[in-house]
Amino acid sequence: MLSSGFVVAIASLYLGGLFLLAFLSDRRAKRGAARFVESPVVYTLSLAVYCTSWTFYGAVGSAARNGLEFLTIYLGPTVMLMGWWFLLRKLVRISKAQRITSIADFISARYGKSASLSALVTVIAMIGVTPYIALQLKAVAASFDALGTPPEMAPVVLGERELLADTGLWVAVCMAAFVIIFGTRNLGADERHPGVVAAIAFESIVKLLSLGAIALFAAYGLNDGIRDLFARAAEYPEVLRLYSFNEGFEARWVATLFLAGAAIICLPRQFQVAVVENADERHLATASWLFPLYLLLISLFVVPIAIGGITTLPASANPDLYVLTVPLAAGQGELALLAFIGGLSAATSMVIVASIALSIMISNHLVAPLLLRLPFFSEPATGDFSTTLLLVRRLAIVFILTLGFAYYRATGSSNPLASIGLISFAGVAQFLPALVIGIYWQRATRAGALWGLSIGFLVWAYTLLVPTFADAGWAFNEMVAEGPWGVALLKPDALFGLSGWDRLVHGLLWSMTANVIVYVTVSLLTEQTPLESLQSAVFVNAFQPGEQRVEGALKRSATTEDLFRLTQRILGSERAFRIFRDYARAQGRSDHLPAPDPTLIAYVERQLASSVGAASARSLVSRIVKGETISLDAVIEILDETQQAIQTSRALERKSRELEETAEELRRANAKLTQLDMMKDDFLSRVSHELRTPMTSIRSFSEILGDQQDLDEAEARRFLAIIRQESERLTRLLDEILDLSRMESGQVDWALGEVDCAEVAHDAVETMRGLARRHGVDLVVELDRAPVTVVAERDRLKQVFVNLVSNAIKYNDAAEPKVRVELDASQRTGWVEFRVRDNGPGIPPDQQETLFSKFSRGWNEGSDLRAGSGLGLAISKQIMHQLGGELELAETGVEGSVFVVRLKLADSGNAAEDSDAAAE
Amino acid sequence: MKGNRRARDAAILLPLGGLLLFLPPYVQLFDQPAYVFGLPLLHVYIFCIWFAGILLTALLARRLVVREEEELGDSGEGRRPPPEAEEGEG
Repeated sequence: MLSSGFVVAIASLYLGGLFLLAFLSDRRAKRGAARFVESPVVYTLSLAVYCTSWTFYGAVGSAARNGLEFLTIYLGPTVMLMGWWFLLRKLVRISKAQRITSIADFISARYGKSASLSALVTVIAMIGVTPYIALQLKAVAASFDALGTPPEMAPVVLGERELLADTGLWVAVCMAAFVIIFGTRNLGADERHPGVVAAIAFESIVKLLSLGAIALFAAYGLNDGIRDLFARAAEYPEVLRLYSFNEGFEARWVATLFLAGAAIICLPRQFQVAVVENADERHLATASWLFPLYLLLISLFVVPIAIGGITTLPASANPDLYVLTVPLAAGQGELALLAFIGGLSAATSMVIVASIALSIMISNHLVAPLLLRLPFFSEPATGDFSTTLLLVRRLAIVFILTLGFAYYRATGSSNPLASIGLISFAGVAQFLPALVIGIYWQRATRAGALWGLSIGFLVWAYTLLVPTFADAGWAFNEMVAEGPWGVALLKPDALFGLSGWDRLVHGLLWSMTANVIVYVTVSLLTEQTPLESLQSAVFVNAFQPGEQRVEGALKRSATTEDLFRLTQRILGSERAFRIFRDYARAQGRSDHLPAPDPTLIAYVERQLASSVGAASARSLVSRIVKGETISLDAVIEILDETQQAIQTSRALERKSRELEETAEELRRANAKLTQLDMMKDDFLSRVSHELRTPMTSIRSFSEILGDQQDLDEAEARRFLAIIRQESERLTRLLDEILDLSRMESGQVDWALGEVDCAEVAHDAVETMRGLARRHGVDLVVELDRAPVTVVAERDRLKQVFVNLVSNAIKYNDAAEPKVRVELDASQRTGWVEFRVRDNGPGIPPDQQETLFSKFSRGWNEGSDLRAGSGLGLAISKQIMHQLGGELELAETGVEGSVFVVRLKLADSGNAAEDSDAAAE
Repeated sequence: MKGNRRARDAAILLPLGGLLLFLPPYVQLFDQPAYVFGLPLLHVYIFCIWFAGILLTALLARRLVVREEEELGDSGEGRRPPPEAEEGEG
């Protein structure tokens, strides 16, 4: 039995030493001389903050109660560290590149720097970790009381105490002071605290040595060595628990193994020491075997102490305090004091790191976003925000420890140490899907993470927290016993009728299942914003080079002055100056103002993120930048090489499609050209044929005239008439060709004037009467006498009419040939229509297209003497075109064809009106 | 590099193998009331596997780090990220 004054003095001395160590390390680190803090061994020892007083006292208690299950708490992290190359290394690499400050920051940054996600993670972490902090306070208080109590009086009851007489209070106050002094000294370039790390590493050594000392005492002080210990223990039936498994241990074994593995990265304090405080990625390589070795030693020490407790102490003694009571019962006061110091260091190191990690999360993700929204802080003119942020952190630390202390006062001694710790583990394990799947699965979205996390957390609270509260007798008693509203199917510890399972296994199963399913499903159903896909690409492809290109994806612009003012406000003048000066130098500029390119903006944002977290930094920067758009091309570019391959193949596909289209166009053009070429050839041959026929007859008749002297006068005159006729035909043909080509090239001067279309039509029809009679064609005319005024050249218009009527007569080989000519003028449409309808053979489909081109008539008919030059329709079409009218084949078939000429009525009203009236 | 590949494959197989041996069917095999050198068989099994795992991890970690440094040395890059100010050059 030790006097409590003595114990207090030793504890104070120890804590004082810790303050001194942290102070010296911090000072040396500032001078850049604290290399030992940045060694892999110190890094490994700082990871050992994992072993809290829950390990120190609770592991022995758990071993004595449940046998070997306590080992899973150390085997889980061992497996995780063995796989460091895949998971931890990636976490560290990403965090360094992104200036991650906490686990909340990490998750939020992965999902597009979401402020809501980081706030949610912070709240969950607070709820999950507060009981754990309370646990440490409880352990210190209990161990302090145990030192002053004879072991026979055990179990120690933490009864009602005066607030000021409560050891827990003084521990909490001391820890708050320590964390405020060493954890919030400055807002560093990154969230690293060399003084704290040194203190934690030292405490880890103390823990190990003191537990080792007790274990050695149990083996060699109480017994003659290890073998003797086991041999003697065999006499106690309850020790056998330690050698074998309980019935049905499997589920719980796997569950705790999983939880412990998850905890080593998901607990905010573990993330802080393993990822944020990591100075060099290579330290992980050392920690990968050294930390498991540390855990192995701790576990080795647990067994002898547990056996010692069972064999030497009364059954009523609290197994959670065997570490203290075993040496005490043997009268080893100094050893018990050493054990107390070990337990104290385990508790304090956990409280220190956990409250630093939580205070960073609270200030960056809960308070800073709110403060920066206030008008006072969002004014660019207001001063340094960094002092405000430090104040917020200090208040957050006080708040966290107050919360932990309040929880500790409220729960008293209701639960064994281990069960509180495991419930906390299960709470923070909800981060695991969003954290781990998120850095391997690029498709995961912010909404998925948000929903998965929320649902998982709610199920955790319902299945694990509610029954704990009910056990403590606070609330929910009926709900746990009967189910909510008496629905047994919804009982918190037998959800959906899944009864008979261990409560932890049951809660973990449901919460993780719900979490993962919701996370994956919502991710698949929602789309990522461009920033999300950018961040997910950066996170998933962390090991691929090309991070520089990522910054080019955000096309933003801002003035250097605005950026500097912002940096100055958040990080303080001195650091802002240094950042900008160094950057300007790196750009090769002589002044202190770097060029404000997108990479500078990204760089400044990262620097700010190292102080206030990614989400807040982003919202701050986006207030002063313009044109914040992510070019999708850039996002695609930074994706991995597969993506690039896909892009290339897409480009190739596009090119080949274009080529195909071009080829098709060329083919079409070629076909057209070939056709045109053929038409030209036909034209030439037709022209030469047309020329040769009259030429031949002219030559032969002139030869006859020249050679035969005995021709009579009449014969000679007939021959001369033929020659003249043929020459006229030649001239006409040549005239027509010339006419057409002049019209086509627009060289004809048109003598346009107002013309009575009806009169022209009449004239044309009368001219054709003779021809019709000769061919025996019945020419029906439906023409009104009323004038229809159009703007045209009279002779040209008549030429068109004559051409159409004569064609209709000449090519009509029906038994009773009939040609009908109509003229319709409509004031409504403003057009006059001249129709020539015949009952001839119709025009074959293959000729319809080329009907209006030159010599089309002659194409397939050989030398049909009925045919004219074959230029008639082409010329008519050209004329109508020039007159602003139309000529087309309206109908054709076995019943005959209809050609239509359309012309616009002249708008000198009266005549048209008259004709309209006449038409009716 | 061939050796490199092998080290990386081992890096993923080692934790998986370790996990497997720590899972119920295997640990249960050794849940016998027997003693090895006066020590319970179950304890001997778990701690031996554990220690072997630590040894292998240590050997492998050395190799992985050496290989990675060689690789980065070949490509002429530093393993650490370049100093802050230089990041902006990209």
